[in-house]
Formats: sequence, C-alpha cells, structure tokens
Amino acid sequence: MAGIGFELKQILKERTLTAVFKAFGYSAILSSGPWVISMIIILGIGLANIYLYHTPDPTQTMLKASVTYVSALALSSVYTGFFQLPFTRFIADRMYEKRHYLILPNFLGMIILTILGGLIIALPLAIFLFDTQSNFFVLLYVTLFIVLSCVWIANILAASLKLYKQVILFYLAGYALIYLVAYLLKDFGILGLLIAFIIGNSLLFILLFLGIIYYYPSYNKANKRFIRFDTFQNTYGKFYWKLGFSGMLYNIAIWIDKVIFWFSPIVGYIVIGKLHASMVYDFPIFLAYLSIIPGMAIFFFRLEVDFAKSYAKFYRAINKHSALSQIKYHKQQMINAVTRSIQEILFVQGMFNILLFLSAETIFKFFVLPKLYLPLFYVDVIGVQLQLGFMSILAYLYYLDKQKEALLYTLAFVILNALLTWISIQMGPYFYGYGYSVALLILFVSSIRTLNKILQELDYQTFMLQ
Amino acid sequence: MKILHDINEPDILIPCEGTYPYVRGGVASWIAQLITGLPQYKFGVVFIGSRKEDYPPKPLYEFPKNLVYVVELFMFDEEQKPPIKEQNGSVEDFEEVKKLYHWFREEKSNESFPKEVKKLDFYLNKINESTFLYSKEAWYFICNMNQENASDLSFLDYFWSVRSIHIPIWKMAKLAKLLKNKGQIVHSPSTGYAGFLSTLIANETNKPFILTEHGIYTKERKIDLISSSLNLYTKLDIFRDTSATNYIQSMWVRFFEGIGKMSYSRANPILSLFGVAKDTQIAYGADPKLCRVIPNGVDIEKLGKTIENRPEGIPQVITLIGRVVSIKDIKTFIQAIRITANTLPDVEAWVVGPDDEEKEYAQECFELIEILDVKKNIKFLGFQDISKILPQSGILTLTSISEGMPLVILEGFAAGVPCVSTDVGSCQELIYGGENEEDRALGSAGVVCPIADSEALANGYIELLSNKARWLEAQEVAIKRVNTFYTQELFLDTYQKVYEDTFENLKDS
Repeated sequence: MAGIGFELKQILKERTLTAVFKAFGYSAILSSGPWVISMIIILGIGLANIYLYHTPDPTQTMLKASVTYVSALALSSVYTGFFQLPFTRFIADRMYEKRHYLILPNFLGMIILTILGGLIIALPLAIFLFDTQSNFFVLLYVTLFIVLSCVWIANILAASLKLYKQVILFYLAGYALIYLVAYLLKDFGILGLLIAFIIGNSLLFILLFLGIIYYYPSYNKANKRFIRFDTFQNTYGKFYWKLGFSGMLYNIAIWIDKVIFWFSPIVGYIVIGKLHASMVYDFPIFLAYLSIIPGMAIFFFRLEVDFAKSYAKFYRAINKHSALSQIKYHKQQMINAVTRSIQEILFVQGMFNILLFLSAETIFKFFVLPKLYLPLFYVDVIGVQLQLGFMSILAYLYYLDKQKEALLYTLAFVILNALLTWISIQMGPYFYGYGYSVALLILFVSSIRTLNKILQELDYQTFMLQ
Repeated sequence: MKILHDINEPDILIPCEGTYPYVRGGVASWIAQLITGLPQYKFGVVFIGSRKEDYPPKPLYEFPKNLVYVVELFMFDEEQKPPIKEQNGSVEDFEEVKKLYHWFREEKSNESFPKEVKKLDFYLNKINESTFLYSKEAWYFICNMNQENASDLSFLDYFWSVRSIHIPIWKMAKLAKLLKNKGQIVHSPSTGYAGFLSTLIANETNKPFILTEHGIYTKERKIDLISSSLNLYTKLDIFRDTSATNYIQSMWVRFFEGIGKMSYSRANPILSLFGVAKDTQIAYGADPKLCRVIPNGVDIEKLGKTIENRPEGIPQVITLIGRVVSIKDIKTFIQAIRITANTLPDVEAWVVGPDDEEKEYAQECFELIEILDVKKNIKFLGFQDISKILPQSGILTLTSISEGMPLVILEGFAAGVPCVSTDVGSCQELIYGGENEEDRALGSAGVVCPIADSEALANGYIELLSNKARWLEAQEVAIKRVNTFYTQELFLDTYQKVYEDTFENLKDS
C-alpha cells in the first residue's frame, strides 16, 4: 500500500502555546513610583522651604543640599535604569519556573555589580562635578550615589516580589530617619544634610534587603552558591538588552527637560560645583508631580486587577481548547481593561486637575508663591497627566513583551523631550513647560495607537508568529 | 530534500509516497519490476516519506542501471520553516484559495480546475509558505473558515490541523520546482501527495502525467484517520466533544479527496489494477473515458519451476505472507486457525513477514495466540524467500481489511498454491475471475470470505485442505489464470505500450 502512515496524534501533540506569563509589567510603573514619591518628598519640602523662607539664606544650604540630592537621585536612577528591567524580567522568568531559590543569590550578585559599577562611575563624576568642594564632600556624594543605586535595585525587586506594604513602610522609616538625622546634624551645614541622606537611605536599603531575605531565602538543594550572576551569564536565557536600554532611556528622558533648563542661560544658574538649578522651571513641575499620585494608584489597580486577569484568561482560553469566539471574547476583555484604565486615568486625573486649576491661586497664595508661575504650573499639570498615560502604555508594552516598541518609544521620549524643550526655551517664557507637555502629548497619542494595534493583532501574533 | 543518486537525465519520473526504495511491499515491488523490466527507459524516483526515522537508514533495493536519479523528501521532519516575518498578504490571492476550496468541496467535478492555482508561481510567489504561515490575510482566512464551518471547535486544535494539513503543499511545490525539468513523463503510483506533486509538475510544464493507482489512496487515508482517532487525544475526557474530533478527521479526508481530485483531473491515462478499483476511482471523480485496468504480473517461470519441488499430497500448511500489522488483520487469522485446529489438529500456520512495524499490535497477536492455545500451530517466520516457502504451503491466505492487488496471491498461483482471502481489493477477481468472460469461465482458485469472519476463513481452509479433488481443481485454475492473464510479460508489454503512446503524443504535440 502506498502512502505515508502518518499519525494525527503525532502531529497534534505538543501543540500548545508556550505563553510565558510575564508578570513583570508593573516594573515600569514601580520603578518610577517610589522615585516620584521620594523626589516629591525631598523637593516638595526642600524647595518649598527655600521659597517659603523669605529671609534670604546667605549660604543657601538647603537649596544646595536639595540640588545635590536630586542630582544623585537622577544620575543613580539613570545608571541603575539599565539593570532594573532586565533584572526584574530575569526574576519574573525564574519565578515562573518556580526557581525561587535563585532570587537571593542573584540579588546579591546584582548588588555587588551595582556597587562596583557605581564606584567606577560615581568617583570621576563626583570629582568632575564638585571640583569646588572638599574631598570629604566628594566621598559623601559617591557614597550617596551608591546607596541610592542599591536602593533602586532592592526596591524594584521587593516591588516585583509584591512586598508592597513593606516597601511603603520602609520608605516612611527611611525618610523619617533622614529628617531626624538632618535635625541632629543641622550645625554641620550641607555635609550634615548629605550624611542624613546617606543614613536614611542606608536604613531603607537594609530594610528592603532584610525583607527580601526574609521572604525568599536562598537555601535549596539545587543551589549551593550564595552569590550568583545568572542575569548576565545567559545561564537561563539571554540578557534583555532592549529592556536595559529602554529603562535607562526612560530615566534619561524624564530628566532631560530639567537638565536643559538648568544649563540654559537666563533660566538656569549655578548652585553648587557644576550643578545648576532653574528657579523658573523646577518648582512648578515638581509641584505638578504631586498631582500624579491618585492617577498612579488607579492605574496600578487596573493593571493588576483588570488587565492581568483578562490577559491570563486569554491565554487560558487558548490552551484549554476554547472556541475562537471565546478567545476573541477574552481578547476584547483585555482591550476593554486597557480602555477602562486609560479612561479612568484621564477622568480621575482630569477631575483632580480641574480642582488644582481652580484652587491654584489659593495654593500659590498660601505658599506665598509668585503668580508668575501659574501658567507654567497649568501646563505642567497637563504634561504630568500625559506622562502618567504614557507610562501606563509603556507598562502594557512591557507586559505584552513588546520590548522593541518600548525601546523605540523611550528613545523617542528622550529625543522629543530634549528637542521640544530646547525649542520652548528659544520661543520665550510664555512657552516654558510646553516642550515637555507637547512631547508627552505626541508620545501618549501615538503610543496608544501602537498599543491598540498590538492588542487588535494579539491573537494573530500569538498564533501565527511564533 | 536530498539527492541520493544522480547519474543521468531520466525519461520517466516516478514520485512515490512511503514505498520504493525504503519500504518493501506491493507498490515497491511493482516499481522495481517496472524499472528492471523496461531497461530501454531511464527512470527517476522521488521518495516522499513522513520522517527520516520512520524508514531504514539505507535503501532496501539495489538501484538498477536504468534508475538514474533518486531524490528523497521527508515531509514531517521539523526542518527549515521559513523565518518568522510579519506580513499582510493579499486579499485577492486568498480569494483564489477560496475558489480552490470551493472546487475541493464540489461533489462532482463539473467545474474545471481553477486555472489561477494551476501554476507553481501561485504556491511559490503569490501564496508561499511564509504568507500562509505568517500573514494577516491567512489569519483572517483561517478565522473566517473556522467561524463558517467549525465555530464550536477547539480553535487550537483547528488551527494546528489547518497548518498540518497545508504545510505539505509547499513542500511539494518546492519539490516540483526542483524537479520540473526531470523526465519527460511523470508516472505516479498513487494520488495523495505523490499525485499532487505530479499534478503540479504536469500543470507547470504540460508534461504528460500517468497515474497508476494500486489501492485507493483516499480510502486508505480514511481508514488511517479513523483508526488513529481512537488515540488522538492522550487524555480521553468524557466531556470532550467527539464531534470535534470528527470534524478534524473530515478536514483531513476532504483534503485528501481534494488533492485526489486534482490528480484525477489532470492525469491521462488513469490506470488501476482491477475492476473494483476503477469503479471507485470514477466515484471519486475520475473521468471514465480515461480509466483503464492494467493488472500486475508475476514472474511465472521462476515460481512455476517450484511446483516440481512440491511434496506429495497437500501440505497441511496455511501461509500468510504479509507484515504483522493491523490492516492485515492477523488477529482474525489467529482465530481462524483456532477453529481450523479443532477439526485438523495438525494444521500449521506460517506468518511470513516482518513483525516490528507495529510492535504493539504484534504483541497483542502473540498474547492472543497464548490465550487461544494455538502456540504449536502458528509460527512467525519473519522475512523469507517465497520460492522456498510456497512449495511447502497448502494454502496461501490473506485476511486483510484492505488491499489493492496483492501480488502474493499471483505468486502463490504461479507456484501452484490456491488462495483463501477476504473480499478486499482485487482478491475476488483473482480467485473467481475478473471482468473477462473467459477468465471467469476458468473457475475458482480458492475461497473468498467476508472481512473479519474467522469462521468463514476456517471453513475455507478446512474445505481445501481436507478435500483433495477440490484442492487439485483450485490449483489447476490458479496456474491457468496466472499464466493467461497475470504474467510479467503481459504486464511489461502493456506498460511499454502506454509509455510508447505517451511519448508518441508528446512528439506530435
């Protein structure tokens, strides 16, 4: 008998989709969340202090300290931005494989690398930036940079292990200690404040560290090593370069408009060493950042409750042999979840913004701020809202493992924010803040379109392109 | 795809599926016979197999001198899928696929084969493998088909079935591109993939395409599918919808029917080995005007000589020459021997053929022998030289549930062994006589029984083995029939004539 004795069973075997549940989409927002909080705390209060003390501070200690701290925050977040997403992705993959015992050893390895790399980067940087300051100051700055870098790594890991409550408590404890030490060392000027920052952040880091050790001990028969570098060694898959770059670019992008203002003549001026500030630009935008909190909470809730669930259902429907109509139904549920989250961000944030707009004058009067800043503040509030939207879309992109798109968008963020901010400075004071806001408007709208396309084609991509 | 042998340009290209030179059996020996018997033509063979590991590492046949070109392709080997590339695909091209599907589903082939999908260009450039696998249009197409025809089905199963069914099409198209200039005639021994390949080559180059069908391919695939459906899902879930399985089965069946129709619509002549097969071909869509029967032939001289070596009397040996596989229904044979042994306790049954093809089935057979306590009667001899076996046999038997034209029956006849067989393929025509009046007048060369009827088989065995007059009469009919109608000379002369005519037409046009 001619013919191939084929067996249908053979052909149908092993035909399930290998959908790795990428539960790490939060990282985008988590990585910026605590950062936003700490920045708000330090700047909201630090800068407010300066503007509130009408009696001029001849040494400008507070301003200098704040600017120094902000620079350390920004630089360390750019530096660790490269590792944060690849590292959390690595952890998420291992958790999916149920290899929890690899978390702690790799965290230790990651911290060691962060410290060594931080030292290599921060030392020359500090010497360059603070050529007018004492060696002790430079040493403190390097220490601060490294401690903050470690905090970011520990923070993102603790958050992706979902130790949310602990993280918030640890932040409160750490910042309480900063204020306490700052008060105790108030006679030592800027050095005292720097030491306060270091001690407070060290406490924060230690608490996060202990939390991680407590919940994820490394002892396991399969692992005898205390320190591991698997993230970089391709032991369990390649290092996620695209994620690394998009994380770093994102952190560059959120600072670049400020940096341009700081270093532009007229609007920026020298504060300490080579560090600049911009009286016109800084305060309204940091005040506007305060307004992001409710929107962020809503988004986070929607992502975790709505989207993650319908995403899981979508893949379950496929692998549990559902009919096409059911698969499409769950896809639609996912799209609805995204729509809902974005609508709510726009709606709630919009309501909040209207309240802010209406009460802005009162607030400004209360803080005794010049009304000159009001127009810039309005524009910034809208820009911040758009940044929240854009950040949410990025989180979805990470969630759906669209690394290439995320990388392109963060790159576009850097370029647009820099370019439009520069143009806005050239166009004059009435346009300050528009660079940032318009850049985010463009990014938000186009990234929504991209996300829409991706979601529409999700079933096609899942079935056909793997 | 691998070229095994290339010493000259062939005249006739034989694409064959799962047979020569890697598998022994009816079709393979038919091909070997044809090639060695017609040394004036140079032949090329295209072997189409499932997976490399399903076949022996080396060809089982030594290549004759006039076999000048051999190429092999394993269809389900996980090899070079085209690189994943997102693309749109064209709506118009998929409209043409729709036309093709429509043609596939039509009961009667009144409509001619859609001309847009005739040429290789369609499969290699318009809708190539990459378009089918990765394009959005293909996705919409699959989704729409699913919604129209099988919206309740597990989409995952549906999707992978669609893919598995279609992927061989591009393998064949690529092969056709490589082979389109090999040989002036394409001669396929089956429809199915080999027939599809031949159709593609013939449509592309206007070469003549001769089809000789041994079994009925489409029917055999149906049997495969139904028997494989039992273990289709490892987890037999009582909540699982069996209609889903059935629909996927019917998708496969429709596909094989469709490509079968493609072969029938293009081949000329459409040959078969016996009358019933011809009727079935016509029922599946072949044009009766093009259909013709050319039976197999055997080397009567060599086997005829063995009659001299026969012992006195009727050897109480019933021989089944065939592989120990389910389609040969060895279990019914074992049961029939149990019944026979009740009357003729000394009867012996020999199974001549490999038992390693369906190991599980063979094991079940051995267990059945234990249970029925016929261990002393039944012997498994493995692969043997039939010219030694046949003279020692009293009856040749076949208990298959499906056959084409079994050469062993003819070989048995040539060696003077009557036959008891199930009523499959051409067995009835061989034992009782075919369409030819003269042939029927010769009488019966054995007994034909219904499928899976062990009692009828046993009665046939007992009747022949214990009635000498009846046996001698059957032997005489057998020898006469094979010498008149089924000689190798007759077979080769007929094919030579077919080839000559085809080459003649080629010259004229």
